[in-house]
Amino acid sequence: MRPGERGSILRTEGNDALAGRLRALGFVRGAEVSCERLSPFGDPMLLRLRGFRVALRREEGARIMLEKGEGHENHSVGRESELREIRVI
Amino acid sequence: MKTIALVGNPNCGKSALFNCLTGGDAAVGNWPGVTVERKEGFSGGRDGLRWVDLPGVYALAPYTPEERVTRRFLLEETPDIVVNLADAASPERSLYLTLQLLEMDVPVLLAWNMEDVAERQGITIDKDKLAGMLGIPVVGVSALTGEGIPEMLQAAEKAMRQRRQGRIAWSRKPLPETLREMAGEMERQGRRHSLFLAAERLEREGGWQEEAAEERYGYIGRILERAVQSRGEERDAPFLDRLLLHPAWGIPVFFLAMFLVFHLTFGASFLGSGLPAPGVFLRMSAERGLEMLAAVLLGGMQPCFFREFLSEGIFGGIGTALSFLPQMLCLFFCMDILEDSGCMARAAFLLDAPMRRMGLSGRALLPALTGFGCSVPAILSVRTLETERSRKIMRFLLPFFSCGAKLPLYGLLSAAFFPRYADWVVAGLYGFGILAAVCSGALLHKIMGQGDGQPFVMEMPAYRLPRWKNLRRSMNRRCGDYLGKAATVILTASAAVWLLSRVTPAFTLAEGEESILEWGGRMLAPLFVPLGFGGKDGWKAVAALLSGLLAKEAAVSALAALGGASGIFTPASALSFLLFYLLYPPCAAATAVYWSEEPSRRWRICAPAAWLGAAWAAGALAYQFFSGIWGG
Repeated sequence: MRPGERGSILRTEGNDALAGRLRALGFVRGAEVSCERLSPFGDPMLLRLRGFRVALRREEGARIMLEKGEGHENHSVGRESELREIRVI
Repeated sequence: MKTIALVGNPNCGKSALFNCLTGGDAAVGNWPGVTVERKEGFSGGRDGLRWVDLPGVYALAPYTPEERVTRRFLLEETPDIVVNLADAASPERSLYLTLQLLEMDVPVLLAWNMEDVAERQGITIDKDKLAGMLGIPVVGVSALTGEGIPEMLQAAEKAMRQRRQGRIAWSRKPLPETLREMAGEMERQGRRHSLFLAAERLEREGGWQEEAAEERYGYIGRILERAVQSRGEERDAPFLDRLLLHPAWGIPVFFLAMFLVFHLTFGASFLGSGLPAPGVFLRMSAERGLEMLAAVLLGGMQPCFFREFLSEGIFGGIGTALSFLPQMLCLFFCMDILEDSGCMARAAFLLDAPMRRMGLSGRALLPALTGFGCSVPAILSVRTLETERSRKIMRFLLPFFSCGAKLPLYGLLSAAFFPRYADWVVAGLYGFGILAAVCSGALLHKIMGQGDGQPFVMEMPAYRLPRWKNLRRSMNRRCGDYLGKAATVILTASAAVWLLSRVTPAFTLAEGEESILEWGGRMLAPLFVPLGFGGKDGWKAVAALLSGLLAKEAAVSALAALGGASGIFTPASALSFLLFYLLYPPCAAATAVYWSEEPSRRWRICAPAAWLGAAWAAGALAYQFFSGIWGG
């Protein structure tokens, strides 16, 4: 994600310690998450979720899938690039 | 005696409440994960209560070390009640843990902390409604002022008397058949917490976790709708974050702040005014006071061996160590302000990417900063890191972060040999220690091969004004520790060093002949010739280093007992001595903790050798380089 973007979570993948931790923090289906800013090196990100803020690396963010927006490809919180529109020919 | 367990999310104020209740002095910081181990305290006198402050967790899973400590205590030690402290400013996340606690067979009390902060953010919690929905008492407290504590105790007393069965209210669907079977089976075996244990096993092994987490948050959403009012979200001090977390300015501002702290503590000319910085002024005043005290106490004594022992061995040694106490407190006062305000957590966010190069994460900044205070708690706090690989690396690096006890020697030698640049020299030493840690960390990361990366998931605490109460408590603790050490280890070491420097190997008084210390020092001195202190008085430097292995401050008192540093060093050899002292193995206590924490035997043996090797190499290089420039 990039600063200013927001999205709704589709699901958090995996069944290990990290997934458990992310879910306990509230990264579950339906939660709204937005990206506030990036660290100077572009990673980690500072996210806002359920009224609090959490720092997360893109690597961990890749586990969290976001809802597919209209005309957008499916993407995760860890995605680095800007949203690209899929052109329908 | 009744036992009360204190449970809650990281950084929700458990330790502050614990201190408030028991009059204890547990460390409090605006940083998730300050409490690693459980702490115990008592309140209420004769038939009082036993309080157990558990490490902060988001869930009762057995993954991180904090979670394991908390989970095991709740499952195995059967507290009479669990007081669940929750941050009123983020009720949604806090209630996740509450729901898990409700699955256990134990009375639970929910206490909302920091309601005033929440109210300023537009969040109000209807506690009565919540109590009705959750089926447990719900109260509000202030861990800061102690407000609401009598009411909380009353509610806890009442709840404690009743038995409570664990239950799952959050599932909209009927509970899975396997869960009910498992729980029923455990109950027949007479196990407590059967429902919780069964749910946990199903989540972990039966792939139920995702659904359970969604259902829990769904339920929380439904109860919050009815019991919590929230008027939009207010951004937390965005102007401060715009500066401190700025992509370009964030890191320079952080380093500037750190330099200011050192300037404030060690600057010979404060902000170029020609006046000493507050830290230096405090040290000079303490020095003068202690000198006057010694003069008064020893004034009436006839010159004799015993008087010399008292004035040089005892007062000289301890006095020098003590005179640095105010300066040390000044440094930690500034550091505590940065930590308590939430600035240090920002630094962890800024510096995570470089730390990853060492196989660490921004979270490793907490042990590192603790290491600037004392290596012993720092090595213990390494447990909060997620993987054993990163714990190994961090434990090894910690002695390179100059602990507070090394400060007196830095202050002494930098003021004696680089009077105009003392603050730069001391800041440089700290910087060099960090650089050494960074380089050896990167090296270790490479040598140890590809490991699983350390995940970095850290809640960003809100800014807050540093609390005078926390600062004072932390100062008191540091002061007490230092005085305690001065009265025991430093006193003994400095007296022993002085005596050994006055007695010959044949146990007669040295009158110009070689003393035991000189003899021993000379044996080792050839090893230190490349570092520039192998000459006539070099043995004194070696003796100081040896006593520094007992306690770092003892090196200063040893130098003082041996007649001061000025005759022993040149600027170049003083610098190499400082570098050696910076990197060589930590004090006996820290080494012992390292040995007990490090599971691998190879590391236990190699680490001290590596510290010594790094120290020697750095000292030798510095001496060869600077003695060439400055001419000896």
